Amino acid sequence: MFRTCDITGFKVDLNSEKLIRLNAVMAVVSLLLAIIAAILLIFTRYQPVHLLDAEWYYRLTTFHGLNALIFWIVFFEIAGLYFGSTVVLNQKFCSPVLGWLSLILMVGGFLLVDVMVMIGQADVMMTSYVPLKAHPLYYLGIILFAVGALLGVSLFFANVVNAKRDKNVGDTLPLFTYGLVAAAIIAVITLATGAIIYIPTFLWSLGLIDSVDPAVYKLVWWGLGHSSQQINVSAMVSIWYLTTFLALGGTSINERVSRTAFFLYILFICLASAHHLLTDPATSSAWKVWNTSYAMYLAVLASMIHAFAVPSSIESAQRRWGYNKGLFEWLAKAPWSNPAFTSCVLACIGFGFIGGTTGVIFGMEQTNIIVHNTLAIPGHFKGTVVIGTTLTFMGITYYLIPLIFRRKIVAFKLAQIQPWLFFFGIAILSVSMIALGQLGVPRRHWDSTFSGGPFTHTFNPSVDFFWTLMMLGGSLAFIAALIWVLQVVVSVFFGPKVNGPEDMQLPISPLAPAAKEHKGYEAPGTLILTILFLITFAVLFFINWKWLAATWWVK
Amino acid sequence: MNEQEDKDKPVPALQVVMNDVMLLLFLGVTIYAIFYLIWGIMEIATVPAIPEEIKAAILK
Ligand code: HEM
Ligand SMILES: [Cu+2]
Repeated sequence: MFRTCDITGFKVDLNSEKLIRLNAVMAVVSLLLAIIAAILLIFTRYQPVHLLDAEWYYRLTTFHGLNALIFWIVFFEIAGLYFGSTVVLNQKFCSPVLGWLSLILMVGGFLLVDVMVMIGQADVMMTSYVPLKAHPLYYLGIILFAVGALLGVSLFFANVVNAKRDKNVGDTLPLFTYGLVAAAIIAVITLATGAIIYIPTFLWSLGLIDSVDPAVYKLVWWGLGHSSQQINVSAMVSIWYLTTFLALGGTSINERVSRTAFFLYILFICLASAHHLLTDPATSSAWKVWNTSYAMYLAVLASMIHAFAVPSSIESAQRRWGYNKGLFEWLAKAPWSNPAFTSCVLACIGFGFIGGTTGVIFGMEQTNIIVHNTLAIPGHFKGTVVIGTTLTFMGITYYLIPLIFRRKIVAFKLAQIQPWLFFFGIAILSVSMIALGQLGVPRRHWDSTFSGGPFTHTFNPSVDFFWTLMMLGGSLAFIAALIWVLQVVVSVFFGPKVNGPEDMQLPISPLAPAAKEHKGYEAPGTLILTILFLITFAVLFFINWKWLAATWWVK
Repeated sequence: MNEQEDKDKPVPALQVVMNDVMLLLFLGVTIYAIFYLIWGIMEIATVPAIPEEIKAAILK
């Protein structure tokens, strides 16, 4: 059963639409839970308030990590995969029954995990490093969720294969869907790895297995924990391309290169998981360096390609629309009133300048030692998965509400400033966490004054400033995320219905016209921005090596 | 370049690989399994066991 979308012209399978809606709703619920925990954590780590007791601090850190990093992201991605493999390809959903089964498994797993954590049966942090042991139902919950997600990913593949068979799409998939293929392949790697580690751990928690080797656990777990971040990166980048297309009619100025970048992700990006084991004694430097440097730089290269391709496609489209003055008119006159567009651009900037730079530096054996297990690490991934992926997902939702939920966005003016608030909130949060970490403040630590401990430590006095900054940034981000959640919920359940193109608050642009004349380089502004980025990167790189050299005296 | 010309040209090998979803899946899984998982676990497995005297001294 199809309806033909009167706005985009896509044929939308109603089963698919329902599954997309439900997965998206679960994603929003998870994010809400995550940010409620987050604000409590902020005011616990902020020592003048020190809100929660130690037990609840660790419990809610576990809860926050799982709901944010796993449930919010994966539910949203499954919705995205269904969207990219049916709606965008005019394709029927291959098996709605299995779609429902996947959803039920995932929701069941989600409930089991959250309940076990909240009743204090799984105070093991989201990494659940053995020999920390949770209740068996906790591991079972994770397994159910993962099986459900794996089923969802398989349905995506089946849809794509069917679309090729039904000739709804040629040999070469649209770039957006191609990026999702990369995401889905990495998801298979991730979820299979998850099964390898969680099933023995589950059996161990039941007492059926004597022990699980901690070194092996950590290695395999990060094959899941880190690789899954690359699903996010692929999905996020795909959405950047999609948004450029929707908002400006822009396409990558060299699609083949963009595809090659996704190809590099598939081949190499999961190896980078090894950066989580850089201080572990069990593996050799050869293994560490191969996986985190040589191979990983090919994946970094891919990210750089995207980071260049997305802004250049914006610039090129804008110039063809006539914003051709000087180096940056295209940027100044970009559709900043379109919150999906704003989100993507801000996500790209934050991801590159905060998440990307610190990722390469912290992922290197030498400089990793400065920040290992400090607050700089969550600071870094607030710069990737929050300012990057989360903001991107928030942004594309502004298109999903009218197109998939068929509702107008309530309080649209608020939606236009929400991306900015979230961007600045997380940027401040992230940078102050990174600064605290560089000064040695540990992560996952209830009381960094070490009061009552057998030893103490005096931090550089500037930490007080950064603690305050972190608290302010975290609060701003919390408010911005809450605005988004409320806006989505109110719009989806109570918003006025969308009856046709006239109700679209976000424009859908026709394809940008072909260039009238070719003179010079297509995207000089982007080139300048890229050079600026490389300079920033070089400076940060230098500072970290200098910092490392200053840490110990060599006499 | 028009559609027709596009069709007549042989498709470059890399593009054939990149268009084959199942082959990509295979390559992604294999590279990761060999370099990260198998190599890593082999190294951990070959770490010599802690000598009994030292273990006893620590656990004492
Ligand atoms: C309003 C937004 C958010 C705020 C204020 C916030 C704040 C925090 C804080 C204070 C911590 C604890 C750091 C520590 O004490 O070690 C933390 C950890 C973490 N956050 Fe967030 N966060 C937010 C959103 C998110 C989102 C959207 C994600 C993922 C998509 C995320 C993923 C994580 C993860 C994975 C951890 C690590 C947990 C662990 O160490 O086990 N956060 N966050
Ligand atoms: Cu990682």
